[in-house]
Amino acid sequence: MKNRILLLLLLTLLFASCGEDFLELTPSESIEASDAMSTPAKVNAVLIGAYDQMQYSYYLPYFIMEGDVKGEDVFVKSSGNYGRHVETYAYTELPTMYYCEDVWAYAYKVITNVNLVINGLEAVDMDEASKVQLIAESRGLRGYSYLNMIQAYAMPYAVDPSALGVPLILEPVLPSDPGPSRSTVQEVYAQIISDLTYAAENLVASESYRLTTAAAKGLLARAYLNMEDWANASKWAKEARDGYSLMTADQLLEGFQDDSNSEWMWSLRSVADDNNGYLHVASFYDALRTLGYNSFRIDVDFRALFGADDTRLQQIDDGVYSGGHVSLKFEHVSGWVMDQVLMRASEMYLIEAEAEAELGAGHETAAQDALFAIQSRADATAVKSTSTGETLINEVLLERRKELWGEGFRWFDLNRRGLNVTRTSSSHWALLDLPITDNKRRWPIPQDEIDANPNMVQNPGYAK
Amino acid sequence: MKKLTLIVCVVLLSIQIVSAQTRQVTGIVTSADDGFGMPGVSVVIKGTTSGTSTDLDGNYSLSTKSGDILVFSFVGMTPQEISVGNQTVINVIMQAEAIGMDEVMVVAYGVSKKSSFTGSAATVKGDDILKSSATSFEEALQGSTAGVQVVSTSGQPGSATTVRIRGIGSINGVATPLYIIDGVAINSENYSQVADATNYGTSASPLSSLNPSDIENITILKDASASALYGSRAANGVILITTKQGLSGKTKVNFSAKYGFSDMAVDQHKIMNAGQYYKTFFDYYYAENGGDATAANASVISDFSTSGATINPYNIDNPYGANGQLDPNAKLLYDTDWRDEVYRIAKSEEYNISATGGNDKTKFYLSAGYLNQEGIAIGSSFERLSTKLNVSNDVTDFFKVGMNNTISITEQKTPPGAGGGASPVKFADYVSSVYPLYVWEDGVKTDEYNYENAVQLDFNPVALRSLDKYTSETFRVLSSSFAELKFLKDFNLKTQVSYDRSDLKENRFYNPEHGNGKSVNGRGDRYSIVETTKSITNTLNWSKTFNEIHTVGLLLGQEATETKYELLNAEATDFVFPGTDELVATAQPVTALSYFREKALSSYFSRLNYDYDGKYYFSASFRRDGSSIFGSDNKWGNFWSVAGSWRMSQEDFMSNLQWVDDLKIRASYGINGSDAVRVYERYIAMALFDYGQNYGGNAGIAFSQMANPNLKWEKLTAWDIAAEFRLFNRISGTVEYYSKISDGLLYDQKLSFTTGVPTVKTNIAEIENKGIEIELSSENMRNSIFSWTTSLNFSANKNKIKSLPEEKVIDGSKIWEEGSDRYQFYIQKFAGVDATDGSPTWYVEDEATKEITTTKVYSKATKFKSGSALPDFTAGLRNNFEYKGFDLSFMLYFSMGGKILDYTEADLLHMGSSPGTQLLTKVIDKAWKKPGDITDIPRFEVNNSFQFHERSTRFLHDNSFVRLRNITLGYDVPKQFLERYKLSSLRLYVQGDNIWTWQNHKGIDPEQSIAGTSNNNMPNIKTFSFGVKLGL
Repeated sequence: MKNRILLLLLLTLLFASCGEDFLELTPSESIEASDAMSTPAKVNAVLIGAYDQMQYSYYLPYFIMEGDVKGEDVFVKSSGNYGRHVETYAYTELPTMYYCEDVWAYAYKVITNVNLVINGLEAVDMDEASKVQLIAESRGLRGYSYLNMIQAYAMPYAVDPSALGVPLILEPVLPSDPGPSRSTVQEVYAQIISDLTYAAENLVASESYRLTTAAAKGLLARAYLNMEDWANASKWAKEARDGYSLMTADQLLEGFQDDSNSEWMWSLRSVADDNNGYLHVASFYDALRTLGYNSFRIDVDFRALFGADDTRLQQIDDGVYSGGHVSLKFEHVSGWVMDQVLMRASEMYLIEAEAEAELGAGHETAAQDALFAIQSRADATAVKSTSTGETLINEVLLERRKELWGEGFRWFDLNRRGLNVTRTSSSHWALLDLPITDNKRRWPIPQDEIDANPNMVQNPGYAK
Repeated sequence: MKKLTLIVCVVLLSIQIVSAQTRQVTGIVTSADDGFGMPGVSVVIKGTTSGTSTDLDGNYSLSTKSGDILVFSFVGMTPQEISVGNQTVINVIMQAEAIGMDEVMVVAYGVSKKSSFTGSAATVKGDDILKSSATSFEEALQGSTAGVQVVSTSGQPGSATTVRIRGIGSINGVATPLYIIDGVAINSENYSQVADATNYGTSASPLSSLNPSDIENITILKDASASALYGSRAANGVILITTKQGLSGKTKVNFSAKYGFSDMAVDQHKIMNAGQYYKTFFDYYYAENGGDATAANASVISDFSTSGATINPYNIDNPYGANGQLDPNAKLLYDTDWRDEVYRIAKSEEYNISATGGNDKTKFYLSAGYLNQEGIAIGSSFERLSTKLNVSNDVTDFFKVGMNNTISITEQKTPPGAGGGASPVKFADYVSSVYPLYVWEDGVKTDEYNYENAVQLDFNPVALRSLDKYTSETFRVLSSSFAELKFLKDFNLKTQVSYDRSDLKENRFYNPEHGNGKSVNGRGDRYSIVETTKSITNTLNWSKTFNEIHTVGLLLGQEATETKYELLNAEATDFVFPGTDELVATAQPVTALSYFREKALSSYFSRLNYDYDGKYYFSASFRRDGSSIFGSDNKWGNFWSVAGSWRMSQEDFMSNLQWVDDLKIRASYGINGSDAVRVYERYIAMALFDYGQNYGGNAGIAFSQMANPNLKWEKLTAWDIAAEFRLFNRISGTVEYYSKISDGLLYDQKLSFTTGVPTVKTNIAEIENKGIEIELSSENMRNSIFSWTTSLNFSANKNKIKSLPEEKVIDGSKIWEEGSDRYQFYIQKFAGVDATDGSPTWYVEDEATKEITTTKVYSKATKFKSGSALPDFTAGLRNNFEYKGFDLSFMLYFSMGGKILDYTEADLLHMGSSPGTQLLTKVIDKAWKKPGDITDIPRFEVNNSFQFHERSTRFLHDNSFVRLRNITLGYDVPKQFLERYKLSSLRLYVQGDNIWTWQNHKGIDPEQSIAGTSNNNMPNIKTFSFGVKLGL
């Protein structure tokens, strides 16, 4: 009997079960999705998270660099560079390469986060005006994401607006949803205009490390410029730079690493504890060499275009190393606490100049004035242009190269204007002459997207 | 002495003669091995103490009664019983004991006689583990038994080894087996942040914290029946490690010391010296510039130079003259052999001391060990200090308590591997010899290190070795206590609580002067990583034999396990004070973060064994596991197995077949699982927003993971059929066939990026592994002075993807699709070098017409299935020879078939596309030079963009190899010499590991990764060592 009791006791012990909550564990590094939008502070944190995706090295920093390295004025050394930017420079990208994949993936991460904000706001307890601000900022970032993508993955609007664009995602997508297919370039631009107009009209913001009202207007100007809607481009460019004044000539030589100046309208901020500085744009241009990659060089023919009195000539070292000049424009600050410019007033002047020149008769003075604002700032001896028509347009385009090199514009300017990518100088190790019709002028859709999404169509010229 | 025995026998004999009606029986006892008479065989009348032993020729004589039974016995031989009856002459042939079948082996939650075990398991003895010089025991399993694939992916001492049991049954999941030490499941995942395989190419194996000298034996559970009791963690096989336990009697003390020297196991690709490298570039420019030597020299030097710093290995500016020949005055200032600078003959030393002893009630085993092993690359080492105490006490005859403890401290220094600039291994292969180790000024060497080169700018592995730090210290405690209660005669209750804690303390420091830390004036990272596993296991065993023929055993058990991983990381930059790497001395704190990740497992299990008369065996097991990891709908899963065996040799109809000593047929079927998730996937089923998505000084969160409430275990359905035999008292073996279907594999299903995340964890894929395993061992020769045994194992596994959610998935250089295997290469197919212009060409298949053409544009090349990385078969062959006190053993490991993609070869055949990067010497003779040249190396062209070095079948090779895993020659000093020094044993030995390798593709070590792609890890090593073992 005694033994039996003992046995019973032991058996009970043996099968003494742990409570069900033994298996219910919660993470410490994440918030469960059901709780992620529960307060205004958390919604704002999701928006901050969207900026963090933009700052990801292989999204905006890289995208800005591709904007130059795929043109004629900047090239990357073929070695001593860990292979970075070599394929994009040489136009040998493959659908599997991270350059093409990460811009796509991270642009959609931004879009997903802002869509979640827009969707989730309804249930959040906060005043309507604050909600409008969050929506305006969200839609601004969404419009910007689409504007980036459409310039890289699709035919330019000016060349073929009915060509395939990118999928338009305005609501969170679930794995069970059918894979979205590509909208046309025109449809994507319609959404960009809609989002950016909402942002431009509603956003009240001036802290330049987040989307400012001015930047939203400036983005709208960029979008209209791409669409060759010259009147709107000029209008929004002027509105955008309202309240911003050009940096002085001396400031042009201060290293482009600090947003505390009168000209910058929008920038990415890197702080000490959240930083991937060795992949910053400045790292690749870094003249001090051992602080960064120092693997980008300036084409010798491009430097020759600057006049002797042009302050911007001093942004390019005169020695030739590895076939080209070293850039002095961007200072790669030790410790990497620095800002990356995304938009500044000079670009607005140049958009205005180009748009007014395109509008032709009656607009030429406005174009010449806007152009001269940029020229005279850099060169006291500059003379205001009296050109008109095509000549004036070409002068503006040349000025864009001189003013904005290194800031990520040239590739997209060549695209929207339908110009050939022509490299002839001795600096270049990949000589090219690619017309806009060449398939290489468009990035491939990432292979992973093709694999995961049966409704996705690859761009022509890339193996399936 | 012998005389005395004889006298006693004679006296005994005479007494017996006097006492009764006795009969004198005589005879000769011979050995079945050689037919010679055996001296010293004991001949005793059963049930008495009277008896005798055989003389030198094997003769005996004994007086008996007719009803007596004589028992003949001798150590290592099967005892024989013979009735005297009317016989007066009884000759006996002694057979060696069929040891294999009655061994007791460690199995899931207990032990079993090998004869009654119905599953598939292999046992490796501790002594065989020690025949390898491996730092970590799992490395020594290579070739030791069938069905276990071991790939040693790095020569870094203490780094992780890839172990796969019976093929690969996972797609994205963890496919490593479950490791159990003395009944406790332990962590085997690499948590090192400093030696992290994904980021730094090297790794730290948590298993290397265990001292192989403490291992008694290892059992590898291979089929469902053997492993199903481990349920949700068993699908990738289970490795049971049993450590040494105390033995009662006089305390035995053993001491061993071992010294070794290691070098690279195989020669690496032949690379150019500085002169050859310079000339290759010069010749190109000389032709380009129409014979203008000055321009050509200037271009070459410019290519080698980084901005501002000119690199010219010669003493004069234009080493090559107008005629294109080397100027007679030109002399190389230096010719840096980076491999010589980076690699060394590595020394190792190891000492172990152990004591084992006890009395009837208390038994103990204690040991201490110290190992210090250098890596062959500078800056690499591994040090281990370990202690162990296993103790048990019989409190009463029904109550027993005990404890097993291991404490170990390791320190691993790991120069980074992989593609990073700081990797000495990559540097030595990739940076050309035209760059000096030291700075040269005006033709004079200075004592300042040179950091200029066009490949890994601002790095110099020799200098950085003492400036940067990569250390990983582990403090590990593995402790388990148990109490065992026997009651009601047949019941046994055991409770075991265990605690496994690994404390990892790591330091990574980039100096402020050069390399990775320069741009932030130095960067220091400290990590504290703690993983703690607590578990409790309760088992109740009942075993009873009915009517002497029915034996039933029943096990009931319950287990709960809690695991917590905690990380603390601090990072700071701006090291203002030279000479310190302490974070307190910095100006800029950068990172401070902490988090934890937990998992919990709750389980109930049972096993039933039935044995009929030692002939028929049946067993069944069941386990129910609940896991915190999986989706809310699938937290609990059931796993089970059934198995049976038939010992045919015990049947009457087999008794005539004298040559069959044992024959057993067995079969099993069952379902196991695998939780297969890594530490960062412990919340993988939930929808999450991650913290730390900060921007501009603001805290941010971002959507990071899709929910999958249906997520569940990977399920393995396996069956196994085998025959085990022992024949002619010499040859024993197993022939086995298995088939495993791994279903519902955890799979990172790609999502459209428009969802915001690239993948979601699902259970979709299905993989099949089928295979044959053969193990044979033979005692070729056996007599008192010489013995020779051979054992051979052979495994062939066929891996096949049965289903996938997508038609095909391209994973790097591999394709996954139904019908092909997990490691099927899918890469561009090289079509040779165009003989007319020396360009590389690749095949293109027209999607519609399937017509095959060639292209010179790499991006247009089509990918083709190009063979598997998995070997067709692997085999291990071991031979042991013993002659008097000498013994010699060697083990050959064969891995046949399987392909390797040699990225190093590809990169070093860049043909000018990356000036400054090393080139293979075969470029000199084999590169295309003029129209009509037929070769597989294209023309040399500086800054070419023809992408020859991109991944293609040009660099895919058959990776068959044979390796002399180890060879040991030992000598046991005879006892008579030892007695006067009060020693009980003394052994001296010399040992070689990997000292010979045959490989089909040369230039890199054949063991790179299970995926068959080369890496920049430290090459595998060969080791020559010698040692001494001393017993008191």
